[in-house]
Amino acid sequence: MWIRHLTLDSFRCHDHTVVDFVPGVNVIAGPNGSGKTSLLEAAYLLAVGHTFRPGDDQQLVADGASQAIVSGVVAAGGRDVELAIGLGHGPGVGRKDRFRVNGAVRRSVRDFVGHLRAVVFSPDDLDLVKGPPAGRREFLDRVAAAVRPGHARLLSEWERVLRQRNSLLASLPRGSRGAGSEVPETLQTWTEMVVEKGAELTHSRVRTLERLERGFREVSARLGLPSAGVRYRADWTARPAEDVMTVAGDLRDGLAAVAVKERERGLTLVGPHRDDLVLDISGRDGRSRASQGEQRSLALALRLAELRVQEETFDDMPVLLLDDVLSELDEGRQRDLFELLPAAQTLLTVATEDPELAPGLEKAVRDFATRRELDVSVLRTDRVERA
Amino acid sequence: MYEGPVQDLIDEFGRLPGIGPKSAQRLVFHLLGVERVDIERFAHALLALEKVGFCTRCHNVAAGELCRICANPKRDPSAICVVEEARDVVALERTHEFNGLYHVLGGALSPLDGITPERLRVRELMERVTAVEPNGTYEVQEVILCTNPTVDGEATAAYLLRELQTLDRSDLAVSRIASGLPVGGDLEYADEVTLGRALAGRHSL
Ligand SMILES: [Zn+2]
Repeated sequence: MWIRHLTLDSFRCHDHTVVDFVPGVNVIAGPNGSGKTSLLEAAYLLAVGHTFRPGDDQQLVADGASQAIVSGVVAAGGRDVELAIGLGHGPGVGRKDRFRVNGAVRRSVRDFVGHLRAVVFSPDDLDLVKGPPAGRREFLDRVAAAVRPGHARLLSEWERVLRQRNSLLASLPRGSRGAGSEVPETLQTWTEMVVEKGAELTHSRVRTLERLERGFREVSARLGLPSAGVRYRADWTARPAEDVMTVAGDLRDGLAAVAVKERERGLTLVGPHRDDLVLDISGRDGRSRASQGEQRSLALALRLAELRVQEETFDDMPVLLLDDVLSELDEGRQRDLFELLPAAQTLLTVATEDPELAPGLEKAVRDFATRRELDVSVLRTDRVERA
Repeated sequence: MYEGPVQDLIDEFGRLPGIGPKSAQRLVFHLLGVERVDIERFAHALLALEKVGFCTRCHNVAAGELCRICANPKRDPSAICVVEEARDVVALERTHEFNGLYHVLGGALSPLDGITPERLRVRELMERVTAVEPNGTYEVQEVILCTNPTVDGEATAAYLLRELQTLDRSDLAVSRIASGLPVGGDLEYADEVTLGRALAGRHSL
């Protein structure tokens, strides 16, 4: 699949920008602050319904405007699909009609995503390795949602069940917290819901990780880390890969073991909301005991593994969004990355004040395009037409 | 601001769900142009709502003490279908798959919204299920849990099942409406055929 063109209205620094792309490699070059990353962000937004950069939606709307609209036409499976998403508040952008496919309103983000698939490589990917577990859980859940029908629904059901149970725990009167006091019957009901949905979510995550892991091992070996591994860690079960009933049993036991503590804290203390993906190199923890270079390779391997899973699952390639990653990588890793990328539409940003690309980079891009039989188009954001 | 009665009516329309100030204004100006007889019919229909209350048996909307369904002698009083809202009764009636009576809970369990079993008509349901006929037998033989296929609806069904099991009525059949409904949606949005199939394919618990 490929993006024919994107239109950005009042989005970040773009008042009104229309960009045409080629199905091959699109180099987007320009100085910092000229709106390069915003173009990738717009593409990503049409793929998953939210941005890959931190911050709330209102920050995406240009200063002085009340709403932003991002739209684009995607060619996939011999058809063109027009996608549009509204942000902020204004005529035609309510909470219920933010998402449109071929002009028709889609009520929820779940009905909107999937028409465009994208894998993003960004300097922030290092946080996947170095950052807190929440980022890795989100990564896994997003990959799972893209390739497993039902995962997105499961995740939202899990979040609801968890909020309900936490709300109930927090509402229990102080006197009744602690051992020996009366437990309301509805707490048992919500505990069972947490057990059921939590076990299903964990199962779906672990199945997804098994697929990711195959690609991860292969790719990390090519990146010079043959002994790198990734596994799922849940404090409440040593066997998350077992069948759902077994995992549910462990979660039930885990919750029972902290029941008193939960009543003191008013919070669900055990479950998939606290799990993690553990990355390691020959048993060394990738988060705390790897060099910066190794961590960059691990992050790259995770993204390339995500890409592999998508390649296996779908007939057509996702769009590759490479946000200024080349500046972060040494020449060896730049070469490795290009060798591992498949023939897919690629949007690649390069920060430069010069009118010409650096010769080394230019050659790397040309070699990649030639090897994969892709056209190259170079677009300069300092010259993009603005109305 | 308009003349007293006009503004009053605009304000009243504006209080209704889904009607903004502009729509309210449009409706009122439309009414200003219609025949007096039409206004009277409209006013009459509104005033008639005053007499509508809730069925003392199943808590469905009712014009008298009992709703149309509870008052119908052809309905089978041994089966009770438990739903969240009166709207769900309408949706299930459209399927023509169920000939028993209903029980409207008035919502679903939700700690986030402060909805506890005490805020729902759970006690009333247990009373109906344990009510004994003059000849000493139980009238209710079957309970079908038809709460929405949402997290809150599932939790409510699970809670009710536990409560029903503590009633010391091993002869009572309890079932849950079959899956296959659009998950996460409400019963009222399901089409008749799907809903009818889900009701017919209910599984015992
Ligand atoms: Zn009734």
